[in-house]
Amino acid sequence: MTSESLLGALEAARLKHGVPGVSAAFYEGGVLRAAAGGVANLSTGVAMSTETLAHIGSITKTLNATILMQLVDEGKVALDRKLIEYWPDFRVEDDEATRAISVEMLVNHTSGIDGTLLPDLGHDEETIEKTARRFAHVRQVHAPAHGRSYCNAGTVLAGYLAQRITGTGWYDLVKERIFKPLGMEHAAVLPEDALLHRTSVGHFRDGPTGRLKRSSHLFLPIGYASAGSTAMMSASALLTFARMHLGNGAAHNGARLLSTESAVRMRAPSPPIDGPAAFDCGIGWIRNKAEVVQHGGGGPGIVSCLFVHVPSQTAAAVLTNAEYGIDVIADLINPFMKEHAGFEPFPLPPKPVRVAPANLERYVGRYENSSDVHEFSLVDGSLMWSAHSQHRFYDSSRLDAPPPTRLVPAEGGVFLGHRGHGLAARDCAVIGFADPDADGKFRYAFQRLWLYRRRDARRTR
Amino acid sequence: MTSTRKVFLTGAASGVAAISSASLWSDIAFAADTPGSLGAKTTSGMMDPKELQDAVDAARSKHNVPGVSAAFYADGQIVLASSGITNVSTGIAATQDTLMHIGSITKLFTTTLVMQLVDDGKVALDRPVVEFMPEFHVGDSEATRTITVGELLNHTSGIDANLLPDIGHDKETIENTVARMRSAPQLHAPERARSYCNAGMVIAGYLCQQLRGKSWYDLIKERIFAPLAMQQAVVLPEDAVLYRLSVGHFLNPATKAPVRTPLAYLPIGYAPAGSTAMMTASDLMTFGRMHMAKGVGPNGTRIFSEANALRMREPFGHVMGPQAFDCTIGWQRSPGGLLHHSGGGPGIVSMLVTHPASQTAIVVLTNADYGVSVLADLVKPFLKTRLGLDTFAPAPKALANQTIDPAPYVGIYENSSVVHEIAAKDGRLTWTAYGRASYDRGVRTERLPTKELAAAGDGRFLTSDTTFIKFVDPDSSGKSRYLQQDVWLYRRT
Repeated sequence: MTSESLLGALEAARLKHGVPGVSAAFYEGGVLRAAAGGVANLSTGVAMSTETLAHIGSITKTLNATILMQLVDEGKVALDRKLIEYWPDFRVEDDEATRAISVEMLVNHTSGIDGTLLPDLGHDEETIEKTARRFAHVRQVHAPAHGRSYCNAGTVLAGYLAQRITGTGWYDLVKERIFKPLGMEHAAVLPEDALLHRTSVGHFRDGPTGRLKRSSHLFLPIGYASAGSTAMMSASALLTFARMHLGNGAAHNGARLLSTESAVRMRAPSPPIDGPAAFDCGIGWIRNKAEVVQHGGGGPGIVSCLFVHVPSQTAAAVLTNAEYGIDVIADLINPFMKEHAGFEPFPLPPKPVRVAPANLERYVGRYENSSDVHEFSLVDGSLMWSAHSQHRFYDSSRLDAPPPTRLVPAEGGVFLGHRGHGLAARDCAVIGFADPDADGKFRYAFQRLWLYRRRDARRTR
Repeated sequence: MTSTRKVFLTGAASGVAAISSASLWSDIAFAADTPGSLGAKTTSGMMDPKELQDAVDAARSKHNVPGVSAAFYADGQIVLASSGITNVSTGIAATQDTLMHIGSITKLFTTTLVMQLVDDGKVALDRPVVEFMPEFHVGDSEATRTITVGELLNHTSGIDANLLPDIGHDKETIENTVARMRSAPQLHAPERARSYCNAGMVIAGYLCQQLRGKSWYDLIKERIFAPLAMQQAVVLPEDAVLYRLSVGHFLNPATKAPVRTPLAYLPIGYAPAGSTAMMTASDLMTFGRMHMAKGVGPNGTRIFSEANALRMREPFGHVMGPQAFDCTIGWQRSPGGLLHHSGGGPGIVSMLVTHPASQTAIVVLTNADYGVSVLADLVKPFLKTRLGLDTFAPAPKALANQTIDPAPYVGIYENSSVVHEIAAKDGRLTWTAYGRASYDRGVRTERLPTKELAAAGDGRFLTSDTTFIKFVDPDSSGKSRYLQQDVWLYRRT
């Protein structure tokens, strides 16, 4: 790869998929290359540059977990201890879960707290502490350690725990414990810091007209900052952080942010769970094949990703400002990781199969978490699917159930659903089912990283 | 503007000066006239787009300010101009669509929200705040009982909490800021004096939140921005980032180059007093025109009643306070029927001037803390040629005879933000000042070098060629109880 070839590939992918702005950085052979193309904001027309701060979304969870592991290194917190030992007021709706949730469960997505996103309460009410307290009224998707479903609530709590233990606000922890020692100049976790820089904002495709529109809002609720609502940075700054993980805690500039043991532990598989798992993860990292660890990020009209492969000492970050930016990410990441780790992290969806599974009634039902609802029904012998959101977090969110669409059975016992880009597109919905009860009905549906519990499913444990 | 005072403002007490910046009116008075660049060219006013653009470009480059945006309104016509860049770190051009800080001009927005409450019969200006908000509390119990809603808005409440130290994003809420004022001391008894008061305005914003059951941010959006169709105006940083926006700059004294502020805002908990609002000059002009039209926006929407729009302009009884600081409910007044407000922040100054009698108004927004020179270049000639107003008082002159009795003046004078130490040396007064907290991170709070003061008569002493402090309100022994500087009073302790 050369800087020219990177820029060429980035612009080709960006133009092919019609994404307003893309910023990317790749690290291989001890060299960091960055490129950017397009515009940061369609409303202003200001160019995206390699210094533009773009949303990293949930990649923040890796930063958040790094801070938690720093506290482990300092002996201030232990992963296997219960959260309630450090925060006696901690509550979720389920008393048993309140007592059972450990620190580690907060960062490996096994706490089961169903607080994916709560409605935005407005600037002054949206604090990390207040969000942590709102979970007192939140139920469980699954019992602690009896499932794995992507859990923003856990990472909010981990961030709150860090600020509680240190007596320092989470925002300052990120600045002082990560940005400053790594010399990450083009990075911000607060909007009031972001506005000192060039900044990118998200874009949606307007449903009826198909035209691109700037997102009406910059962030998901700010009280979810430690789960990833507010962090913005350049792709190069994000790779500066990633290189510290490539160095097992030692940064490019010699600073040590984590013990080797903790850096390695973050990438190691989490303890096995007794229940359905939507994905595999370590601590703050999503685990892929061949020792690749990664994290993706989303937000209002943005998609971003970070990939790290320690064996080949390579890393890549791609930040886009369109809700469908995943196609650009796949075009840039696939060849890079194929070369260095031997596989493409963004495969096409599984192939359709001609024969549907027997007893499709087993799938019928309403499956939900606090954010989304998936309804499955049978029409003329076909499984039909309709999804909608519980709250309006994105300009593209729909709160009413759309007319059901037919699901196509595919290899591996999953189903494919159109999301507007066709079944071959990477963002077509791949829906699976898990954990049948005694009647053979599934307790859970899963899509991407989330489990959705059937509404009438009895609590299994 | 290389006065000692300016050094002082950008040094020790920058944060204080910044959010208040009511002093800009007198700063403009002292800013040198610039006949070479403008005086001769602007006799026809600046209502020609090219002429305004030239004037804005000239003033900006002359004073080395990164970015300026201006809106002039007269004869039913609006003319806009912008010049320079939004941020020296990014080099992005400042346009007429760029949102810039308006700082304390926000106080007029908060005041408008309170007047809407008056319209709805939910508060009365002459009634105590506790009647409407029983939890209201300041350090002094008498003041707690007696401070009225109107006193929150006309800088006579005496609550001394000009700018409390920033306690970090999640804690810097309007509610927490008001809670922190529960122990605030009084600079003076309510209604007895006038000293620029951010605290009163924050409490007024909180009162609106409490009585409407909605955040101040949402009230501004829903009750002012939306009905006036101000689409390029924000009060939240997370909204600002969606737009092209400007940030503040300071002058590096060594290189004489503008440096971007490390801090976009003063503490966000002071939002109703003016820490977060940003908008285009055009949108601020829309708001100014609404006030000139007694509550009706240019789009025909009534924002509040004519009676209360007029009430905002009424002067109130004379109380002790800085002469240059004559205020009404929300507005500052100057002779000739001018109603205006200025604003500051980290590395910014801005101004809105209205003249309801002639339906003329000016908005100038700059992104440098020394932008007052640009304001002077644009505002002074316009008021003079267009309205025949020359309302800026000249600076006092040092007396020929400098023999004084220091006894009435010597002492320590302070408020919650700044301390002035006045001592005597060889029959002359000396002055040392320092800020209590830094709001600009790089800003110093150590004591500035002690300076000898020249007597200018009437209790006034020059702190530079053009700026002065004044000692007032002698006690029975003849010692002054207060020192006045700009729009502030400082109490002898």
